[in-house]
Amino acid sequence: MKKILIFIFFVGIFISLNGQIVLTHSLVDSISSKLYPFVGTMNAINDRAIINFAMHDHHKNSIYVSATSIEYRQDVHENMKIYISGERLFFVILRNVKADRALESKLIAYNDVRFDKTLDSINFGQNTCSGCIIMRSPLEVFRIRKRFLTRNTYVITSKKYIPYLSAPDEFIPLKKFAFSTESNEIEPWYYDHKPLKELNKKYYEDMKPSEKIILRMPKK
Amino acid sequence: MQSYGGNMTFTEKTAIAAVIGGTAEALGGGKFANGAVTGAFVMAYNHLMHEWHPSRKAAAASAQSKTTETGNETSVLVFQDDQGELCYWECPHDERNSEKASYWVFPPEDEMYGLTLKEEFHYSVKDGLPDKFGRPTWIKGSFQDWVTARSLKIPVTHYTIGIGSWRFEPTLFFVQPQTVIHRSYIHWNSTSPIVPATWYVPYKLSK
Repeated sequence: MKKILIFIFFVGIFISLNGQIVLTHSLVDSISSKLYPFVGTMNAINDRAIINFAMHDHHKNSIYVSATSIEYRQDVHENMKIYISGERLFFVILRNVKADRALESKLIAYNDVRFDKTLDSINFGQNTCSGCIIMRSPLEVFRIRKRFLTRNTYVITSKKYIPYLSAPDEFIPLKKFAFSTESNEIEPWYYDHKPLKELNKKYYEDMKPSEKIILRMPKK
Repeated sequence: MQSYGGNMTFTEKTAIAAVIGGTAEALGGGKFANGAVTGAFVMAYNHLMHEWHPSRKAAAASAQSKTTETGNETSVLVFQDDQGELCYWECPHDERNSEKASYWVFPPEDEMYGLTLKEEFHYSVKDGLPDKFGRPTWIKGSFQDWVTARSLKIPVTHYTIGIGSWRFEPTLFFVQPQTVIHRSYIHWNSTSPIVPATWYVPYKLSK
């Protein structure tokens, strides 16, 4: 009996560690509304969000999610897909992530005829905001993994990167922007006195990771 | 006095107001000196109400402090009278003003007599609206500033308090503005140029 229990325990660990997460549209909806409730709506800056989903080859039980926003149509690239859910519209980038068929059918790829038409219909990039420089630091990367021995419960933890470009490549939604360039250095407002290179309180506050989130998905 | 006043320089106007004040007071039986001070004070107060400034430095300081206090942009219109003297009009607050826009409120018509608009400069605070993710944005000069410069044929300068300035010359074709950035503060921003509006078609020189 003891041996059987130990066997079941190890099988459970094996399944949990190796069970690849497959991205579904309900998971995308839940993640986006939980982590970025404002995404998909227009604001005064008139930008659109890009949500980046990445997976490592050796950690297929985790998905890494990060996001940024773009103001100009010139920043739309081939690897972006449009995702529409209800009234919300945003761009999605899938990097080494497996998506189910239902989600694939919902995504509008760059070379799809509907891609440009959709962008035209939302007037994206028509009213550009050239009087603003958007600061993209910190880049917060959320790690989503299935809870141990569960099927529909996910644990979300986060890590922040300052500056934006210091994050691993696969987590950076977009590196180059049409009308601005991000810095490789820690932004100047994180120093009270730059020559001394002493980081201020704001830096440490901004680097604090968000609280752990438990995401329970419906069984069906 | 107002009808002639349009042709006078700002210094002359102040001097005449002081003299009138002094004369009136003298007729009333008081001391001329006290009356002159009162007259000058009234004129200065009048100018303060109408946001006129005798020098660029005074106008810049006033506009900058107003912007810092209210968070809204403040514009200064630089006029030249027919004597060649410059005077500075700080636009009073307009309800539509915001962090990124200031609407011009011109001086009263009788005070505009004989004046020509020569230049405009405006101040904005550093921080703009936060983006979708709650992160800060910084305000800089915009394409609209060039549109103003071009349509009115005057130089337009956008000062962002704490960052630097963007000066737009009244050229027929859009060129990136002459920019002065406080390097120690925003060292990377030379790669963040002004974006022309979508309707703008760059002019191509014919061969």
